[in-house]
Amino acid sequence: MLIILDNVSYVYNKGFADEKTALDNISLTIEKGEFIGIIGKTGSGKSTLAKHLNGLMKATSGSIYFEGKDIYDKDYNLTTLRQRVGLVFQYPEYQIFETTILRDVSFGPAMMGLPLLEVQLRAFDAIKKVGISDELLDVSPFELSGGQKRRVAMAGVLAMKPDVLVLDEPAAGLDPKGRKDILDMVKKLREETGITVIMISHSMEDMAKYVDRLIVMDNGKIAFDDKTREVFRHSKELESMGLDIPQVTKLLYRLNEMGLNVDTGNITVEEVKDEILRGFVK
Amino acid sequence: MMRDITLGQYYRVESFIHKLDPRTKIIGTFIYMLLIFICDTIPCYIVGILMLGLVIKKSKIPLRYMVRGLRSILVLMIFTVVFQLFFTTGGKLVVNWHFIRIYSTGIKMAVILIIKLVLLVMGSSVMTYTTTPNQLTDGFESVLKPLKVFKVNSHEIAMIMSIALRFIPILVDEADKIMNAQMARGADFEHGGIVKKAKNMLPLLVPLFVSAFRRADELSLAMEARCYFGGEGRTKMKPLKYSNLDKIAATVLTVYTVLVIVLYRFL
Repeated sequence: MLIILDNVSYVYNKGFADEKTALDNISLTIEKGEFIGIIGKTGSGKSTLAKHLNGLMKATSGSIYFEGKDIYDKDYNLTTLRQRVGLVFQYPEYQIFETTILRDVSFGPAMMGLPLLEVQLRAFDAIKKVGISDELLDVSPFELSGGQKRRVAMAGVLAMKPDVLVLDEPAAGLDPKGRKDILDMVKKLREETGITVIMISHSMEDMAKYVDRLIVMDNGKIAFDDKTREVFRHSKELESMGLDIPQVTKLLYRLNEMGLNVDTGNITVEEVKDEILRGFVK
Repeated sequence: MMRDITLGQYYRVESFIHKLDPRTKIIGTFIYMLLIFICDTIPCYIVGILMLGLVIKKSKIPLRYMVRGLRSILVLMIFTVVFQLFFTTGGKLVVNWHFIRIYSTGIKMAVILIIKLVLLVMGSSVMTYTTTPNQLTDGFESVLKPLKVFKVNSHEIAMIMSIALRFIPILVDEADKIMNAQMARGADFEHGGIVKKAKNMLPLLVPLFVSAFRRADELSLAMEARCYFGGEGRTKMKPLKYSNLDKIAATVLTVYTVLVIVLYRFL
């Protein structure tokens, strides 16, 4: 087991009038190589959870173990943890600061104290992985388009060669093609390197298409934690949490109501197409 | 770390001073500070302290709050005292120990300066404690209006002030976010010497500046989209109005001013 969260709670402004429980007794295990999605409406604690995974925030109570070691131990090296659990924040393009793309991507590995050659190798490798052309290496990041900037920012985290990649809404604010490109890139990256990916998103469609396991957060608690397909069977509960199921699955529900016998357990466009055709042929 | 910064010291409570028109408070504070500066004799200061005491009592702000505000000028106060004590000559020689010589004039000057500093800082804090930043800017806009003669646009100054105030919490929040993101990439904001610390701030400052400019740009467009064209002919949702309380305050202020001037001239 790669990461274990044991009864983790986090309270904002503890002891003050505006005290707010962001995480409420979260217990969770994450295995190596998993592709996990986290959904939940705004303020449900998703981003807070993400910041706990690499030790940026310290839980008010409970423990977190990474590869069996308690990350809150006094002599645990949090800097190393942050390199091994790469966290890409929302709108990471706003955190770029260097004068060239290469230098910005090199920041992480350089901070790890690696030799220059290794730093540059990793930077080149990461830039290639996110699909940015070599010609842009010496260009100022501020000359790039929004989508490209986001890739550069992601490369900055990938260059640290993390074992776990935590993505907070990687596709937010992008057009449909940009969304697909970024998410396909993550998928490919995972297939090639076997990296563990934890992705926060609001899009049920993206979740249905990409992740294997889905964690639903509601008011700081885990409401569901199961295979994506199983989670989407709880359409009523999801709706009451301000969430939804994929549109195509909704279509199956409607068809069912209208008397067509189809299985509502299908969640991607391809599956639903086949299911509807099967339903009509029967 | 960033969240520790508190801005705008407004202390929310209902009181006579809180209810005053911001213009009254601005003009009052201005006159008070002016008198403290000009009339720097002990009798004037005694009246000044009494006046401040009265205002603080009426404002219902706990005294420890006011005293806490003095901490920020503690270093300045210590410096002034040390300089006045050791480097002023004149009057009787009070202390003569090794190379240290303290004269009576020095002691007097040090005491006066301390009183002056404390009164100035506390006097102006009463204003910021009892007036919201919005009221303050409104008040400034109105008070500075006569400067139009000198081509000073008081509305623009007030607008700049209120936008600056409005953006401080946003930028603090943003800095917090960027800091987290850079820490996730191995940045270190806490260790090392002052040069290293300053250098480590670069990953924080560049994105912060970029985002500040972006926000400024967006805000100006949004203002234009809502037909903002400056102060000319603009009406207010809450126009400033003097009340009877302001008349009382003005009377007290006049009495105080006359008293201080008389004391200064004839005592």
